[in-house]
Amino acid sequence: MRENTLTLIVNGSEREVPRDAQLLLVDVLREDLGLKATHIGCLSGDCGACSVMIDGEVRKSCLNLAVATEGRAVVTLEGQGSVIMRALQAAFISANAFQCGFCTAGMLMAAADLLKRNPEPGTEEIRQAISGNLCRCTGYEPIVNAIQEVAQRK
Amino acid sequence: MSGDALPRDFQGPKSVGTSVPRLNAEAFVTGAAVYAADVIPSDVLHLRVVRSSYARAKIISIFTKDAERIPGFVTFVSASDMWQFTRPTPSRFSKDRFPGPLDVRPLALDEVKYVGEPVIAVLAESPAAARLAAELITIEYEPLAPILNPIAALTAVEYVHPQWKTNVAAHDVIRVGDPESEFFRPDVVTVSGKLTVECSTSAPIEMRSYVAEWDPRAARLKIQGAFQMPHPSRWTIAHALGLKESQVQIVAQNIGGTFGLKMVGHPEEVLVGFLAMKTQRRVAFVEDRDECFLARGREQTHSFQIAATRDGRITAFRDRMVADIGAVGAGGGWQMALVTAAVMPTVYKIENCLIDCSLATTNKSPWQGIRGYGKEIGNLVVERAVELLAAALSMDPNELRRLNLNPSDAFPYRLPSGMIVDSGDYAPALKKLEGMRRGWPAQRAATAHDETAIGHGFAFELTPEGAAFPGAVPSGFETATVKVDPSGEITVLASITSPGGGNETGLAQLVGDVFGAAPDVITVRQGDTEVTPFGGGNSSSRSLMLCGAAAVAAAQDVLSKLARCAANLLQCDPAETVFHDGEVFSIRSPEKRLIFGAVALAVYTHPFSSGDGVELPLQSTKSYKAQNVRHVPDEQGRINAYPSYPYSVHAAAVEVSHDTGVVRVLKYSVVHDCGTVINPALVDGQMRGAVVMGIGAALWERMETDENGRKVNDRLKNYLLPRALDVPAIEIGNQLTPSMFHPLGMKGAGESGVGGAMACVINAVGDAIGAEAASRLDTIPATPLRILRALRGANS
Repeated sequence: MRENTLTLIVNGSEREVPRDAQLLLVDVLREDLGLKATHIGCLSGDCGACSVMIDGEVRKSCLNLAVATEGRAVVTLEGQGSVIMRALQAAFISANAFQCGFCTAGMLMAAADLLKRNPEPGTEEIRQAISGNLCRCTGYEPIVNAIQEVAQRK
Repeated sequence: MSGDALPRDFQGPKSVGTSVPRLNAEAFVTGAAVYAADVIPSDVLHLRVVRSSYARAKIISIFTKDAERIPGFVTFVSASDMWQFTRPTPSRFSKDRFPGPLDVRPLALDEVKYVGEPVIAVLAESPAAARLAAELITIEYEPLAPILNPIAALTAVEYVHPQWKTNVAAHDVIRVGDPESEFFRPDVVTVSGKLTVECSTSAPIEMRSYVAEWDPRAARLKIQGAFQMPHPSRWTIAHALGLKESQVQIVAQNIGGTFGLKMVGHPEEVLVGFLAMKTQRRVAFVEDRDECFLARGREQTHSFQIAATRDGRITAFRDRMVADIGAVGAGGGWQMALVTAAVMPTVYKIENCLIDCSLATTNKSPWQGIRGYGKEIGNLVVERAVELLAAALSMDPNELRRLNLNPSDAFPYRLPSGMIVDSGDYAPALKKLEGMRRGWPAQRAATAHDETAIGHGFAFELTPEGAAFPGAVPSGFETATVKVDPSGEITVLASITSPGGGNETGLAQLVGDVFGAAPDVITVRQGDTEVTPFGGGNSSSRSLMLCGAAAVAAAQDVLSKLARCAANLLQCDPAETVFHDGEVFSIRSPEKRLIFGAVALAVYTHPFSSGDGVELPLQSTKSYKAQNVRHVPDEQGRINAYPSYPYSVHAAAVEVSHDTGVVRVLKYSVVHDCGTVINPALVDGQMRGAVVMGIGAALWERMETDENGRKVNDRLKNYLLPRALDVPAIEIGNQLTPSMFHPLGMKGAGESGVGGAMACVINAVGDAIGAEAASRLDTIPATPLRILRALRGANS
């Protein structure tokens, strides 16, 4: 049985899913594990809507095969309860840093990753950090402001 | 009595005009918000569409045996399989413009009209199996010479739609004054220009998806998906499938952006419904990015002339435009080209105009709605003409603008197309904008030591909103139901949808203010044809302007009923009741207070005493029909399909490398006037998004087609959306001239910004490369190569 299943560590829990060498991490997260906060916007690594944390670093889950993340810690927005993430979420609301909300999970992942590496980023560093994530609604400025607000508050 | 008779100044809290946060914001930042693809169950059949690889060809044969051997393959259908069970998919817009009949089916029957046209629908148990099976279906074609050049198409003797016997899908000539004579006057300076706008696409981050479920016992079809216009979609799909509208339910979850893409008439909407009925299984379709890119728009050419006296009074403008609308499908994107023509000459007072607009149908994929809806290009052309004219007159472009703006006392004024511009205050907006350039890098030319030049550019944008085209389903109204349940919950059922703009929050603010309630206690429901009243959904920045006015009227009606009950309980006159933050009291004795919910409950529980005189139910449905729309032609034979005319004026500073042609947008400011604003932060958010979309369209976004009509771009790596590092912060100033044609003074907000951004960025690039090179910069987007060509003496 074990060779037919794949054990992933998602949001701190071991989860068993069918082992299929062709499946993308994003599909396993969404379809097998029902974690719908992670979105699909391109499946080619261009939009960042599927960004998750893998071993503490932001990664695009459409560019990772599920089998390649075996034994590594995968965290989606559903499993992000850190103080920084809560602060980012509040700042995204107060700054109107989302409109349709489709890119938001990925933006929050990129933002949290940035603030972990660089607690006091400048505007250009913030724009650099989210440049792998596309937003078609906001023009990015409110997102940059929200991230900056959290960075300055710390 | 009416709600207006209430002492409303004492009511509270008030939120209209303030930037309250989005309703249900928490769901969007925690990932709990549900989108269309999230509701696709695991046991559905997956639809994959086999699409034409030819722009124009006869279908000779279809070979499916290899596909049928794929594990998980279920079935496939062709047009002939569907024909007798379906009817043509109707267009939401009137087809009166077209030269002949139009029979749109979701699958091509014997001839394909564009690359990407659906030919076969394949169903399988998994997305992977469906994709693999689709790849193994072989279609044999007899290729025909495609009609790809829109200019040649106008006079060609082969036709995209053979029954039309012409490729001119529509033609409009807009004339005012005597433009021909004006251009021959000896005392005028005349400037001619060309402008080619290439194809761009809406590209929301969420692509389309649908899941259809047929209930054979109830004989009802439910389709959930990315629908921005649920009721028109229900009408369309019911027609195509030969069902009664009551048999079809359309449900839209949160929409991950649309910008016009998710309007009506996509073939897959009908296909999932048909296949669910045929297989008695749930059927899902999820678009991929390559398919999403089939949504074309904006592709057109303009040849314009503008004339002015030597002191800068513009006397005449003429433009000949040809739009390449591709093949005509059930969607109404082609309408955008007619709007481009109708918005000219925008904010300027020009007595003599001639605009000749041809819509050429070609063997490319159909236009779908795209933010700006044609207005962005009309504004771009006019602003480029003004800029080139200023150079010829050796005038400052803004001085030329000032001389020719419609003055503040000219409203309402009539555009040559018959549009009636409701209100505005253009010159003060320009002055305000000019004052917003503090800290901007100064304009400078490139030198031997520094190959970068810095240019500033300005542009006005006039943005007619709230489109009410005659014959459209629906035309120019929206509807809201407001009800108060026994628990005291206030619910708004809205005909509009909210793909991200936040109109649900605006509705809650408007209705909350009527009841003296905070917006976050108002429940707003949208996007379900079983729940919400009939209306258009989301389009043309109409949502809050039309449905907001409807909701206020309905809320006032319900409030008057509650006031009657409260007056009975408080033993006062209904006109003396005050609703304030969950409490109700009489203005004469504010110390005696009732709980809002208790008043509502009393209407339900004591209709013969406390509720005496209250006309049940505690619910009201109102439509608001736009004012300032005229479908009866005026003396020049023109109608006015738009009620509201927000405008904005834009400024950008750009840096252009004379070595590489690369443009960096350094600074951006805009002054925006959309009349009464319900939620300033949400309106500003719309403007920022639209400006960035306009910057993208001006500089980078370009959907290319090769010589065989095949789309070149297939992913977001080669269709370049603006990224965070590509765009500056956008400073927004506001101006407020309420519309006299709206009960709250509102004008539309949402699309404004795309055209102004396109035009001011191109004008700024022109400033940075110099007037002579700028006159050769005649193709949008202004890619580095085109800028270098213009600098080196060739047309771009």
